Amino acid sequence: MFGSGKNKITLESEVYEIVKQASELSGCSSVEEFASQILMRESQAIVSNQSAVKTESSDVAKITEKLRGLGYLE
Amino acid sequence: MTKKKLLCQIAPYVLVAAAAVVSLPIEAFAYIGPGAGFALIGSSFVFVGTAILGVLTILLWPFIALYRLVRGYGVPRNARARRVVIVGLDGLEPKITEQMMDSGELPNLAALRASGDYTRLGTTLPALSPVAWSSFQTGVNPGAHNIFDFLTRDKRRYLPVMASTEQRKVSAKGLMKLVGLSRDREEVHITRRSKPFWKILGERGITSNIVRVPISYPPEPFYGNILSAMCTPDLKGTQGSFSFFSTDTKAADGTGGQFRPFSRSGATLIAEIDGPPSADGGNLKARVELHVKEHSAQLKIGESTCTLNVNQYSDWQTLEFKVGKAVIRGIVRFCLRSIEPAVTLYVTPVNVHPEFPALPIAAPLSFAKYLVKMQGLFGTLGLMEDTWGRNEHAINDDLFLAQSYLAHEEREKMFFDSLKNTSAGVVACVFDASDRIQHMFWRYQDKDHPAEKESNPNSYSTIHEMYKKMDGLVGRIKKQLKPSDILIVMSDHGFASFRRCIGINAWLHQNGYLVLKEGTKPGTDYLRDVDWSKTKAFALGLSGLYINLKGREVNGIVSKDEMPALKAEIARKLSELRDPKDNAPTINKVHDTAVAYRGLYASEAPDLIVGYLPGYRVSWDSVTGTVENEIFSDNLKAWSGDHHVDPELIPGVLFCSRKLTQKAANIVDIAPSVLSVFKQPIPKYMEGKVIF
Repeated sequence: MFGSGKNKITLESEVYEIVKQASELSGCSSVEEFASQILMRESQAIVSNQSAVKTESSDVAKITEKLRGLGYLE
Repeated sequence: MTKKKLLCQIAPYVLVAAAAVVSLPIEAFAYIGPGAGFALIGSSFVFVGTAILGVLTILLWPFIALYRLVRGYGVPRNARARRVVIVGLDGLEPKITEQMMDSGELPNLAALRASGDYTRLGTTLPALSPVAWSSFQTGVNPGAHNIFDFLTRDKRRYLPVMASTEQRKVSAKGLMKLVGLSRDREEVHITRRSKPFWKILGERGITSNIVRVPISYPPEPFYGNILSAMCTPDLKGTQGSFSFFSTDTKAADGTGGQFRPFSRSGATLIAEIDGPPSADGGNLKARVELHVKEHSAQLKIGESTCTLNVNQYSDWQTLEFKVGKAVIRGIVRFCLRSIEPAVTLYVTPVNVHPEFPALPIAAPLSFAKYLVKMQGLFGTLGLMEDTWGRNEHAINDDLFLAQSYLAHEEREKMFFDSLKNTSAGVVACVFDASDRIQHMFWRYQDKDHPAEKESNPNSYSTIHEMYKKMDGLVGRIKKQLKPSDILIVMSDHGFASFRRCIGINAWLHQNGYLVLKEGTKPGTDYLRDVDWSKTKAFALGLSGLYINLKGREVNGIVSKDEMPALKAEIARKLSELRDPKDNAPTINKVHDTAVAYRGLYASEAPDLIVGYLPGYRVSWDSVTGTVENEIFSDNLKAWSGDHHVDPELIPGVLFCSRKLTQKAANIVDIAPSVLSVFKQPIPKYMEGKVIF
């Protein structure tokens, strides 16, 4: 409940202004949402290129279990 | 000022204070599995903190009231209504609604149409509840709110995952870690982005009561109350796992691992019900005892007992799961299915206990506890109606219907309580029974449907009766409204028959876009036998196809330059797909999401979305990535109606107690229209227009 993993990063004012402008143009509800998504997307692309993950049968079992009861699935 | 009046004025601030304690921090999250999360939420710390903050809030109340007055908080005097009341009837089909209104069978809806307005409501691409209700909340297309389906894919594994939540590892740090109040843990976050209109209203001091609007788990705190809906898990962490116990070992050996044999102790039958995941990889268990009599059975849970009659649901019963010194509580309903020749017992999924919630099912959490005090225990699972249990014959049609209406009655009580307690602002509630009943009973009104029909003649009029029941609800709501209120009755999509299944992965395989590893045959699920080095496209989820794009999917082979032509080729060929049974066309349109969506998350969407014609849907197995042998098959399940057809063919309904300013309405129009009623500026990112 406490220390929920929110960290701050500092941007130069000029960078912030461009980020803000881009956020508005892309239809985001806030600058924070925009910045988080862009950083996440770019970072994930780098990380996933480095680390293909082998699917184990335990992964499949876990997924099957989690999706149980959704109705739209077998 | 009387004491009662003073208490009434103070109460909201005390609730807000309680919310501040139990819902810190602002980011919405949920603990998954037992452990520190359960222990902390249930600890006395929360209650002591709440009491202290409550006292502080009472003392600060005059200053807060003055501040709000100066800032112009609350519903402004020039607002076009004091309250906007939104009644969501999930999946209400316009053609049936219009026909029944015209024949006089839905008098309340017909009167609403006559005194106010009615139109068909455009829905989202695809016409799925999580997608459509997300657009309802935010006023944006899926490309800007990030929900495209129930499922999305793990790009590193090519596996389906729930689209509306994600797990994140959070490391403890700082003082809280040092004093042992915080530790590393996993949290669940909502992945629906953008901002619900009630959050925007809340920032301007206008309160809302939001009851069971889909895609609200985990709930995001705001100035008001919210009870989570669709995709809220059970205590096992699944979307709803029923249990079925039997003395017949054959019956106990059914599919899905939920069918279990009773164990015995003399004449007593013992059932062990799975609860939250345990540290050893299994599940915590709750034990119940069954003493069978001639026509009924006595159920013993701990020290309490209740009588079970054949094919009748029990009231909600509390189960306790012990983990160390902590107790995690859940609630279930039991249904004794038979005594002879075998004793069989159906148990609903273990819902999060609303009075002692182990997961954050409401914001503030005290809202769920308050509702328990007002109406008793209620189900908290996202999808309350056990369609899986019915598909697997753990319950029959009558019991499915009874279960749906039990959930509906609980929802009505919550809604009317919220309506009574909201003097100004928004009350929104989504009723799901209309959707689930149409899913499961459509085969009775489609004489050509291939699925099995049960012998109860009443089943043929179940959908018809359900529409009348919803009309009755609207009538009772109208009686509670004032002239200064606006009433909206709406559905997120319509409904159609689902007779034939289309194996999209089988089609991709047979057309050379999806290649299996050498030596393997079709039939394996979760795309496990796919040769990714040769595969150009795959399907996961209810309507989406993905290109195996280089740099995005972990083993992608298609370059960005090749992608547009490949998408166009697949879309063209798939659109021409005909049913070999009668040579009928099957697909209305295959949509390129690069064209259909706008927004920051558009690149997360499937690359193509299939808009089926009525009668068709993706096959059950293809949803989770099975490459089947055959492209077409009959849908033999009780789940016989669906709405995955092209959005332009399956709009919802929209009734408004005032005249609509435009007849061409879309679900994205609701959010900006509500803001407009309260004279609030509409954010530039919202795409909808003001229609009331």
